[in-house]
Formats: sequence, structure tokens, C-alpha cells
Amino acid sequence: MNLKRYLKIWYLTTANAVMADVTKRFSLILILLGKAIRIILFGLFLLLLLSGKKQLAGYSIDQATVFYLTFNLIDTLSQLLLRGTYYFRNLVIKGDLDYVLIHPLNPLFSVLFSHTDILDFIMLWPILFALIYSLGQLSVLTLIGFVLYLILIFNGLILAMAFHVLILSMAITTYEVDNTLMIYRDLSSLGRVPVDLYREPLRFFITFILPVGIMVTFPVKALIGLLNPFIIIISVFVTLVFFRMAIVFWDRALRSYSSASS
Amino acid sequence: MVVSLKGDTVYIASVLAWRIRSVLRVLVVYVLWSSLLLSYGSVSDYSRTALLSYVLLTMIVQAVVFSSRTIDISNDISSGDLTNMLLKPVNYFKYYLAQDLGNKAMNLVFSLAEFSLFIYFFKPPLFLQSDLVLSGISILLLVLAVFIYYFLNIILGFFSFYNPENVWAPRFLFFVIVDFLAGSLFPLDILPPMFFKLLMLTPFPYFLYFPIAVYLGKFIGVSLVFYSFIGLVWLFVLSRLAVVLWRRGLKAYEAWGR
Repeated sequence: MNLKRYLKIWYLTTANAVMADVTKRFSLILILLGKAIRIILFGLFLLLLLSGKKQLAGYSIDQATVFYLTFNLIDTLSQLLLRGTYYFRNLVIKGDLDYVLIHPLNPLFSVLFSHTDILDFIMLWPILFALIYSLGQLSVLTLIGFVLYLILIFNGLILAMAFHVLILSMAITTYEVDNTLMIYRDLSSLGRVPVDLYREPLRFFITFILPVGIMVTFPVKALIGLLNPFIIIISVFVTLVFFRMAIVFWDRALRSYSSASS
Repeated sequence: MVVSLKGDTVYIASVLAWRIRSVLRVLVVYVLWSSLLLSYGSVSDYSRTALLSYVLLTMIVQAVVFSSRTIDISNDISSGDLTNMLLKPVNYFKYYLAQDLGNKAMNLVFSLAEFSLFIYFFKPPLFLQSDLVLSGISILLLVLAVFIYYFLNIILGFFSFYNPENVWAPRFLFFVIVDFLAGSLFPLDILPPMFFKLLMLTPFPYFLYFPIAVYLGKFIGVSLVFYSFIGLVWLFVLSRLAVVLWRRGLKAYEAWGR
């Protein structure tokens, strides 16, 4: 894969998507407002819950805030970069996926990164500022912890991408994207609070089988020194297996694509 | 109504994913509260049984109140398809009400089945209201919620008369606000009292929170009558506003796309 060429194509598709989005300024403001309200209201709900109790699953208010903001960081970044998934159903239904397949490009790249969402790019900054402020409130913060935090955020983004690839694969065979995406979003929303809150076997299930925990909880646990090296290696291994599985599903789904509507 | 039912079940995989999603969105909240209550014991004056019953009942109330075909109104206007409707001897309001009822009937059947299966397999604590009058009133309030939601959605749709290119954004904002302020995540009376009282003056709590809270016995006597009256006022105001916007909107309608 020629990385420079792909980066240039991503830049061009991003520029196109941004230009198209900014033509609808009124919509842009309303959707931005909706996204901000959603994040703020759930954050206030968490604070309200914690105000009388002081702890959430053994974590302090400051730590729980970092968990919530890290969830939002990974969620927003994945939506910012992988918004193309939301447009995929039409490609399959109309048979326009044919045009993607005949391009001299990796079709998965073309589909996943076909639309960069400027709204999520705007949303990213207040989340980042709030996160940096919240990180500053933590008493235990080490350089190693912070490096592991960044590595596991990247790991979480790979997992988010794997989830999106699975959704795309299902879309080819079932023509269904919207509800599947919402199922993914509902499941990942379990990570708005540390997964330690949940009981077994659910905790194990959403940590290692459907790895929401690895995706959004583990980075913060590594940051505050609650993740041993063995678990970090396991989480990277789970991510690689999950991503590989998603690619296999995608390849198989592409083979079954019949181009029936075109 | 039958057309609405058939249209909603064309793609089997979509229907399946839609139902899984409908159950999952409530289950996620249920699991969250169930876990929180294990640590906290109770929240505000809600016992574990009362709070988990509240969350489970949202499964049925959401299915009845929030299922709606009125989302298509914006598309009717922006695509010009409204012209076809205007040529038919059909009352537009009644047409969408019939569509809504079909959609709600299907949702109710599914959600009752899913609710029963959940109760059978997981045996969660469930509050059963012994006062038949309160149960009856909560069903009446559910009907009130259906109509308030219907008119509010219609009003949102009619904004497309003036801004046909921006159909999705106002609705997205509306859904985000309703999702939180209607009480689908938590019973609203756990909020600070001042904020709760102000919120009860808006139409949002009447979609979900109020019918369930009445069933759980949180409102009796004067407070029940007062807030039911507020709900009726909202129904009156929104229904009149919908009619006014429809009449004015038709004058502004330019049959775009035709």
C-alpha cells in the first residue's frame, strides 16, 4: 500500500466532505448543539449521581470524569474518521459499490474513510480541553502511565475500526447498517462508565469478547496504574485478533456481493 | 395502518436489527442502573425494585410513544410528495395518525413479547401496582403522551415548509433533548427539586416519566391532578399550533422537487 498516495486521497475526500458540510450552516449548528448537549447532559447526570456517593465502582469523581471524557474522545475520533460507514447502505442498495470496487484503491479504505465529519472535528476540541483539565486533577500521573494511555487509545481506535468493518461486512449480506450501527453505539455506551462497575459475567463479556472495555476503559486504567503489563499485552492481542476477524468477514462479504441492484 | 405495518417489515434483517436495538437501548440503561444500585443500594427515594421497574416499563412506554411515522412529513414537504397527498380526499393529520397507530401497534406487540421474555428469563424485581385507579390513570396518561408527541413531531415536520433543505438537523436536536428530558435514562425526580419542577412545566416529562411515575405511585392527589392538567394544556397548545403552522405552511409551500 502506498501510504503517501492514500493520505493524499484521504485529504481530498476530507476536503470535499468539509466543503459539502459547511454549505448547510444551519444544520451544522443544530447538530453540533445536539452533540454537545448529549455529552454535557450525561456528564451532568454522572456528576449528580456521584455528588452524594463520592465514588463510582471504586473510582473517585476525578477518575470517573477521565473515564467518561476518554470514552467521548475515542467515540468522537472514530465518528470523525469513520463516518463513511453511515453512508454505506446506499452504496449497496443502489449497486454503487461497483464503482468503488473498480477503483485502483483498497475498497475498505474507500468506504471507511469516504467522509470525514467536520462536526466531530469541532467537537473534538472541547473534549480534549476538558480531558487535559481533568487529567491535571488526577493525583497519580506518571510518564509511563501517560504513554500507555496514548498507546491504548490508539488500540481503542483500532478496535472501533474493527467494529465498523464488521458492520460494513454485515451490510453487504443483509443490507442493514443503521440499526447495526446503533447497536454498536448502544453497546459501546456501556463504556461511558468504567466497565468495573458491571457484574460478572457481563464484565468479562464486554471486556474481552465484545471488547468495549479494552476500547475505552483500559486506557484510563493504564494511566492510573491499575493495569499490569500482562493485561496490556492481552488487550493488544485481543485487538489484533478482533481486527483480523473483521477483515476476514469483510473479504468473505465482498465475495458474496452480487451487485444485484446495479 | 396496514400499509405502515407492511412497509416496516420488508427487510427481515433490518427488522431483526431494529428489534435487537430497541431492546438493547433499554437493557443498557437497565444494566447500568442494576450495577449502580448494587453499589448504592438506593438512589434518591427509589428502591432497587422501583427504579428497575421504572427502567423496564420504559421499554413498553417508549415503544408506544416514540414510534412514529411523522418523521416522513419533512420528506413529503421537501420532496414535493405532499402535492400528491393534497390532491387526495384525505385529511393529512388523520392520515399520519393512522400511520402512527399502525406503527405503534406493531411496536407494542413486539415490546410486550420482549418484555415478557425478559421477565421470564431474568426474573427482575418488578413493581406491580395494586391500585387499579392509578393503573387506569397511567394508561390514560400514556394516551395523552402519544398525542402530545404526535403533535410535537408534526410541528417539527412542518418547519420543512420554511426550511426544506434542513430536514434532519432539527429532528436530531429534538431526539437528543427528548432522550434525556423525557426520562428514558433515569426518573426525573432524582434531579434537584427546582430543576425538576421547571422541567415538569415543559412537554418532555409527559412522554415517558409522568405515566410511569403515576403507575409507580409517585403522584397522587393534587400533584396528579395539577400535572395532568399541565399535560392537557400542552396537548391543547401543540394541537392548535400544529393547525396554525399547517395552514400557514401550505401558503408557503412551493412543491419543490416537482
